[in-house]
This record gives sequence, structure tokens and C-alpha cells, in this order.
Amino acid sequence: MKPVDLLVIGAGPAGLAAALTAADCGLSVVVVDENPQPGGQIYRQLSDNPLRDCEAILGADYFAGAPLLQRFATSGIDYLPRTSVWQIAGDNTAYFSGTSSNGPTAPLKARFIVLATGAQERPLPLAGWTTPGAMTVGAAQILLKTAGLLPPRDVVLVGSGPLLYHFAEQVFQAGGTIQALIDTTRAIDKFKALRHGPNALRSPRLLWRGVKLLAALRRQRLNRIVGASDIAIVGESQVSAIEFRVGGKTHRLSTSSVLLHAGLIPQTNFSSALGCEHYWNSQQFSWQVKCNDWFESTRAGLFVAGDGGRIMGAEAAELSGRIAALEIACQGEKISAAERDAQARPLRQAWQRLLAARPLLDTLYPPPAECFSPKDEAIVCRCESVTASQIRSAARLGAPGPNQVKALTRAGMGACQGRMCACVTAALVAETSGQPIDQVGMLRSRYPVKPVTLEEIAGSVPAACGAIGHPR
Amino acid sequence: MAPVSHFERLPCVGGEVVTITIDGEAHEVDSRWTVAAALIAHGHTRCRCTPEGQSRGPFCMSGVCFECRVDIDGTPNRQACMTPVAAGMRVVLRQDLRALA
Amino acid sequence: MRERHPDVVVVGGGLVGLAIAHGLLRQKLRVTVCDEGDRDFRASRGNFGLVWVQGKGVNSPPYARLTSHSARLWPDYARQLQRDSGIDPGHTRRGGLSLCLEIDELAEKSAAMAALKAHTPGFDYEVLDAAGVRRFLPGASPDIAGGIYSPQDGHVNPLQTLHALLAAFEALGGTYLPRCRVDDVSHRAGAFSLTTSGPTLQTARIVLAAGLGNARLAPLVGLYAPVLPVRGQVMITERVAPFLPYPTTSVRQTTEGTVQIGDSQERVGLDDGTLPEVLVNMARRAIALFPLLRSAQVVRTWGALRIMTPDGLPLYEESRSHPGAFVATCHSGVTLAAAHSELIAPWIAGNDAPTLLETFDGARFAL
Ligand SMILES: Cc1cc2nc3c(=O)[nH]c(=O)nc-3n(C[C@H](O)[C@H](O)[C@H](O)COP(=O)(O)OP(=O)(O)OC[C@H]3O[C@@H](n4cnc5c(N)ncnc54)[C@H](O)[C@@H]3O)c2cc1C
Ligand SMILES: Cc1cc2nc3c(=O)[nH]c(=O)nc-3n(C[C@H](O)[C@H](O)[C@H](O)COP(=O)(O)OP(=O)(O)OC[C@H]3O[C@@H](n4cnc5c(N)ncnc54)[C@H](O)[C@@H]3O)c2cc1C
Ligand code: FES
Repeated sequence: MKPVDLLVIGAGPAGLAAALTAADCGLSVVVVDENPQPGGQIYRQLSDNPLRDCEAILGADYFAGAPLLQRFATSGIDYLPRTSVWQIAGDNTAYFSGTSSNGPTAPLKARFIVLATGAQERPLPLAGWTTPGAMTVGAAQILLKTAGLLPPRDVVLVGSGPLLYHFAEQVFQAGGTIQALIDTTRAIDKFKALRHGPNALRSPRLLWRGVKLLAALRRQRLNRIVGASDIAIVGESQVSAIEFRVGGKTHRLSTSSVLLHAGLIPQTNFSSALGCEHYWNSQQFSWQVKCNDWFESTRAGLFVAGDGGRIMGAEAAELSGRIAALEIACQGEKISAAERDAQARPLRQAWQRLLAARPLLDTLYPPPAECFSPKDEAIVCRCESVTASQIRSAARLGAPGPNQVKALTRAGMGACQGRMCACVTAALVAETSGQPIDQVGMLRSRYPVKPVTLEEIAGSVPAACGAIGHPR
Repeated sequence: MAPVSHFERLPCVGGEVVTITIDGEAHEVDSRWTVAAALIAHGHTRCRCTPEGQSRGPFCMSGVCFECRVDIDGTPNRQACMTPVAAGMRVVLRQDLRALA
Repeated sequence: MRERHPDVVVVGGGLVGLAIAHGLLRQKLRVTVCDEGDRDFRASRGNFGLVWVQGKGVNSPPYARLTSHSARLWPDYARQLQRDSGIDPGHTRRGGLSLCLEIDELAEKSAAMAALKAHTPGFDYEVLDAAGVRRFLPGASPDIAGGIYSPQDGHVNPLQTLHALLAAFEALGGTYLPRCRVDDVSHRAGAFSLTTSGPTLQTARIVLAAGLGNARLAPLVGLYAPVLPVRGQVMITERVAPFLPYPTTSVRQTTEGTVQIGDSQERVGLDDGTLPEVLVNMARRAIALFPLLRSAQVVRTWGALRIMTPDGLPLYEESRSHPGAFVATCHSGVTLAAAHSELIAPWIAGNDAPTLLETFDGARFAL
């Protein structure tokens, strides 16, 4: 394919906003997303939602995406749906895999790249969490949004974070029931959160939404269980129960469906594989790519917008995409620095206002302790079935970080590229060695970011010559 | 017997009905569904086996965990949650390590 | 503290350092290994796992003999390692093949094997055509030119080997210090003092087994180790049912079922990344050799840096100016691990230098 000015990876709010702004400034843009439709996590299936009562069930936040999707649909920007990027070479050439009508998509070189690959749910490695029938809350929400499927009536929700309650509300709106919601947040966290209150008032709309939500859930008489520990999911080939302790007593609820949630973390596979600098954000308990005020990473020309950079929410994600695009347009000599600054100023102010509520949310809903210190018998690396106890043993042998643990235990070697275990593994090394997690370091991501067949690799570019073989 | 997990189908509008097979059994599904949604709707919370013999099923529904891999129309290891259904699609749930052929 | 005054400090916790350290513990010495951090260069985490004899030392009889000897030691060494660590290094020695797509390549290899056999007692091989290869490896393409089989070849699970070495070292009472980069070495009155990013260490004997780090460390103790990085790129597939009963030099199936494909040779300095053009080449060659690999899903690619001396041969030497300081480095640290543990450790413990290692000192690099 002909080189372009800008390649945007991810068609969620951040990516779409970046693409539209850049195209408005006169840059040539290609947007790629592995999903069949634009919208990203939040605005999934918005243009063709199957639910008859979708407005009542999914709420106004969901439909807030309609204008953005509408603008994108009529923009004429090149868009490759159902295509995933599996590799970005050193010269900014992206390699695609996916099914399109006219065969494999040729690699594309771009002067600038915006990574808008979004967040993933933070893994919550409880004992038994790999049992079929245990899913994430986000997964159940996707089933609801895109397929009109409501969780079984005996469902139990477990974890922490706004999405847990938001989804509970959606289930009630759809006429479903919830057997129990086990909230792992401790009272002390609520107390700690108080100090962020004043700052959060800069974002009153967000707070108001939270208050309304809790009131609604109380009206629904949600069976909310707090202070649970030793949570274990029971079942062989299908979940049959969940067990936990409260106040020294063991409880057991029969259920066919357990939904887990522990907040969101950015997807850092590309930025890590490309060697960008990252840091440990101790407020959000996650690795994040280091960016300047324009969302440009330490690798020139590579921008990271939206939740893939740090968890900021859909509205802020959209703004970050626009801000990044203005800088790209400026570096691409389509607008002057003065124009860039003038256009960016109001966007930045709005972005900062939205971000003001984050510290409160982050402190109100810290990840459950199991995210950093799972039970010995719990599987941490789902792909390779590596338990917390195996990882602790490797750390005790002196493995200084997740990369050596990976070599010794295979944790992080599977198809998911460590997405499910990397953060937990690093935390376990920190726990065992007594090193702070930011010194333990993060798992180095390698290509392919998503598995591809050998044939796809063989066909991806004309081969160059080079010696292959074992040294004599 | 292990309990079956029953996700409930809410009233929907639009879309078409297509027929796919899961392990040879025919099912009618909404054309806008992913294969993973079709599996869940029909009680298949389990869709594969790890090399160690553990049962696994769709977990994240968003392409992150790779637990939902199934054989689709003869191609092994496709992510069920990222693949839309299509009329006549054949889905096979794998019980063991696949052999290259 | 015991670990600050050990009998020997081994610098480098890769396969070379740990194999020697394991041997030293079995000599009843107190040993400390210092190693760097999680993201530093480590060939021992990125290699191909072959215990390989055919083709090694075609032009160097001493190297061919050392390699052969180590491959012979490996079965017993693997058992020892498993006894000491409880971890199976996954060693098998049923023979291995190198495959040729072109007939010229096969002719060249056959000539090399004849030369090797002439100076290597106990080395055997067989030249095979495509049909012959397919008797060993039914998945091989009928269109290849052929290959060489040698019953002396084998492979290990290189990561389990590393794990076993670390666990054995721990079980036998060694002290492993990660995040402990050696920055400087001073020598006074027969004792070495090592300044590190961690504690300062005092010892009478040190072994430099720091891989690429040896180039900088060796001159501190009057040694010369002009090693340079040579990158190898490797791909690994999903786990599949067993189909490759023997390893080959560029495709092998691991005990877990994954298929490892590689490896390239590039002089690119300290860059352990991957390059699309090279991956494409490797993928094409693997498919030409084994067409059924076409649909295998690749889950990971990586680059790792080999540690190469100017002539490609190992380097083992005790310093003349700083007696008690040794350097050990090579580019086939998997193959030679058994020899390192069984031969080098007794030498460092005070026995005479083994004759098998005699010609591998650094004098040969002097101008
Ligand atoms: C499971 C889940 C549920 C959520 N539910 C809610 C909610 O109910 N309400 C709410 O306000 N917020 C919710 N959020 C948060 C919200 O989705 C985000 O704040 C917002 O979507 C961030 O936008 P974004 O553009 O940064 O990323 P996203 O919207 O996540 O978009 C990223 C896009 O990148 C694509 N992508 C990723 N990797 C590749 C690749 N290698 N190749 C090609 N494409 C790729 C993905 O397919 C995706 O479409 C949820 C998040 C998650 C993960
Ligand atoms: C792609 C590839 C394929 C290969 N295939 C094979 C094969 O099939 N068979 C085979 O026999 N060999 C193979 N090899 C070679 C084999 O991997 C190496 O010979 C072996 O791993 C070298 O081990 P090492 O301990 O010398 O080096 P390394 O593993 O690099 O270890 C050196 C260690 O020293 C540490 N260090 C460096 N400087 C300092 C310092 N100043 N202070 C403290 N610690 C320090 C480093 O952090 C590192 O941990 C292959 C290599 C590569 C790259
Ligand atoms: S369910 Fe997680 S990738 Fe499909």
C-alpha cells in the first residue's frame, strides 16, 4: 500500500477522533480495527444494535457516541475493519492480518502512528477463575450490548470498580436479576478516597452519575456482600458454586455464572514491543507508556491516545485523540504551532476537567488484593496454566522480574502475550523479593501482538537475503 | 451432571436468522452475533481443553484472553469472540492438541 | 557474611556461568553467582536448545573433540542435574538432522562431514536423500535435496535447563545475586574485590562467564575476550501434536509441543529486536522444509544475541597476571554445558587444566 501520513490503530473514541481531526487538517489517514464495526469498547455495535429496548438498557452514555460514529461514517477516511495489526517494524511499517474480500492486506508505512488500542479489564486471578462459566463483567456486557444476551438469573458478580455497578444497573434495566454482588473494596479505601473529593468536584457530572447509580441499585435491593475473603470459584468443566469467607464464616452460593471485574488497565503490547519508555502509575496500579502533553511517546512519531495510554474514560479518550492529531498535523506542517495551540487549549481544559475525578475513582475502587497476591493454587498464566505458587518459587530462586520468570515457568508464553498474567507476575516477584514493583519491571512484549500463521508471515513481504542456520 | 449456564435472549429487532453448526448440531442464531455469543447462548460455556486437560471457555469477549479458540470452517484456533457468524458456518470445539495437516 | 566471602565468585548467571557454578558446588566449594537484571542481554533465554555435534569444529579438531565429549557427557549430566534440582532439563539424544533444500548445499555438507569424521573419534553420520530424510521425518517435503543425520546429536529444553541449573545451584547451597552487576575488579595480595551494583564481594577466585559482558570485564584481570554479538532470530508456534521426532538445525519441536524455527545470523551490534524481512525468510524456508507448518500459528518471535569470538571457538583461560581469575565463554553454551560443569569446575577448583581445553586461550587473538 502507498505510504500514508497517519495510521490509527483502534476505532474507539480516541482513534476515531484522532483520525477525523487529522483528516480535517489535510493529512492522509488510514484507520484499522480488528472489530467488524467502529466504536471501540464503549460504542460497540452502536449503529446496528440488536436490542429492542437498547436505549432503556444501555443508557445515554452509550448513545453519546452516535455523532462521532456518524461523522466517521461520512468522512471518507480509509478504514480497514476486521483487520488486526500484528507487528510494527522499526521504520513504522505496520503488518496486518485479517480477512478481507481481496486477500491479505499489504503492509503499510506511515509517517505517524496513533495507538488507540484501548484498555482491557484487569485480570482477577481467583482460585478457579479459569472454570468455564466464569467470565469478566465486560464480557457479559458485550454479550448484552451486541447479542442481547442476559446473564443467568443466579449470576454472582465479584470484584471492584464502577463497571461492576454500572453493569448491575444494566442487568436490572433489562429485567434480569443478580444473586449477589461481592464487593472486595475495603472500608479503608473509602476513607482514603475522601482526600480526593475536592478535586473531583471539578467534574460534577461524573460524580452525579455515580450517586444516581448507587441510589438506583439500592432501590433494586441488590444483595451486596462486603468484606469477603478467600473467594474461590468451584466447578470442573462448568462453574457450580462460589465460596468465600465473611467474618470468619465460610459461605457457599450455588451458581452457574460468575462475573469478575477489577477495573481497567491500558493495553501496552505495542508500546512495549516498540521499546517506548513506561512507568508504574501507582494511582492506577498499572504500567503506562510515558507521553508528553501531546500524547507522543518517547519514540518520535508514535502517539498513544485514549485508555491505551492511561485509563481516562470515553469522553477524555476522544479529546486525547484530537489533541494528538493537532500535534501530528503541526509536525506534518499542515497547521502552525500557533493554530495547534489555539485549537488545543479548550480541548486540554476539558480533558483536565474530566481527569480531575479520576484520583477519586481510582482510590474508591482499588483493585482487589488477589490481583497482586493471588492464592498459591490460583492459575496466574491462563494460557500455560502456571500457578501463583510456581511463580513464587521462580522468584525465590532469584528471578529478578517477569522476563526471567517467563523463561523459568512459561508464564507469559502463550497466545495472549502476557496480557492476562504480566501484571500479576511482576507483583508476585515484588512480593517475594521485597523490591518495589517499578524496579521489578514489566514484561517485554514481542511480535506478533496477536498470533499469525507461518504462511501469513511468509507472505507478508518480499524476502531479503540473509544467512540462516546454526553457527559452525 | 454439571449445571448448564443459561443466558437469556432478550427481545431483539432487525438482523437475520442464520444457521450454524456447533459440533455438528444445527443452531439458529442472529446474523450479528459472534461465534462466542452463539456458543454462550447455547450453553457452551466450555469450548476447548488445555494441553494439561483443563476445560476453558470464552472469558473476555474482546480478543484479549484467547480462551475462546475453536475450529471454524476447518481453520483451527480462531477467536470465537472476534469472528462474526455466517450462514452454514461449522464450529468445532477441540478436546486435544491439534495435529498439523 | 558467607556469600560476601565465598571461595569463588562466578560473574554471569547464564548457562555458562551456572553450569560451571553447579560443578564448583559439587567440588564442595562455596560459590556466589552475580548476575544482572531482568532485561539485560541473556543468550541463555533465547536459544535453540540443540546439543549439536555435526558440523562443529570442521576446521578445528580440538573444538570437534570438545563438542563430541560434551555431547557424550550430557545424558549423565542431565540425570545429575535432575537429581540436584528436581527439574528435568528435557535432554534427548536420538540423533538429529540438518536439511538441505539444494543439492549443492548437500554436497558441501557431505564433504564437511567427511572431514569432521576424519579427525573426530566416535563421530558418525549418514548422508540422506529426500526419501531417506522422510524415513526419519515423515513431515519433510519430498522436494528437498536431502540431509545429514548424526546419531550423536540431541537437544534439551533450554529453558528447563536454565531453571534446573538455578534450582540445583540453590539446592546445593550456592548464593545467587540478581541485580548485582560487577562494575570493577581489583586484586591485592591474592584476593579479588568486586565492586558491584549490590554488595562488594571478596574472593580468591573469580570466573568471568558474563557472556557479552566479558569483553569489558576481562581486561580488568589481565585477560582478553574480544567477543561480539551475533543476533539470531527465532519464531515459536502454538503447541501442536508431536510430528517431529528428531531435531533439525532450523526447525525442532519442543517437549511442550511448540515448534521452534530459526535461527538467523546477523551482525547488528547490541540490537536484540526482530526484522520482518528475516522472519519472512525463515518462515519460507521452514515451509519449504515442512509444508505442513504452513497453518501453524506463530505466537512469538524474538531476537537474541550470540556471544562470538573472532574465530568462533570457545575461550577458556586463567589469567597469568591475576592468578585465580578465569574467563569462560563460547557460542554453544547448551552443547558445552556438560563439559563446563564436569571439566572446567575441577580446573578452577585447583586441578590441572584439562587437555581438552588447552588450545582455547586468548593468546590466539593477540595481534
Ligand atoms: C470490557 C470493557 C467494558 C467497558 N464498559 C464501559 C462502560 O460500560 N461505560 C463506560 O463509560 N466505559 C466503559 N469502558 C471504558 C471505555 O470503553 C473506554 O473508556 C473507551 O472505550 C476508551 O476508548 P479508546 O478509544 O481509548 O479505546 P477502545 O474503545 O477500547 O478502542 C480500542 C480499539 O482498538 C482495537 N484494537 C486493539 N488492538 C488492536 C490491534 N492489534 N489491531 C487492530 N485493532 C486493535 C480494538 O478492537 C478496539 O476497537 C469499558 C472498557 C472495557 C475494556
Ligand atoms: C538464537 C540463538 C540460538 C542458539 N542456539 C544454540 C543451540 O542450539 N545450541 C547451543 O549449544 N547454543 C546455542 N546458542 C548459544 C547459547 O545460547 C549460548 O552459548 C549460551 O546461552 C551462552 O551463555 P552465557 O552464560 O555465556 O551467556 P548469557 O546467557 O548471555 O549470560 C551472561 C550473563 O552474564 C550477565 N552479565 C553480563 N555482564 C555482567 C556483569 N558485569 N556483572 C554481572 N553479570 C553480568 C548477563 O546479565 C547474563 O545473565 C544460541 C544462541 C542464540 C542467540
Ligand atoms: S473470549 Fe477472550 S479472546 Fe475471545
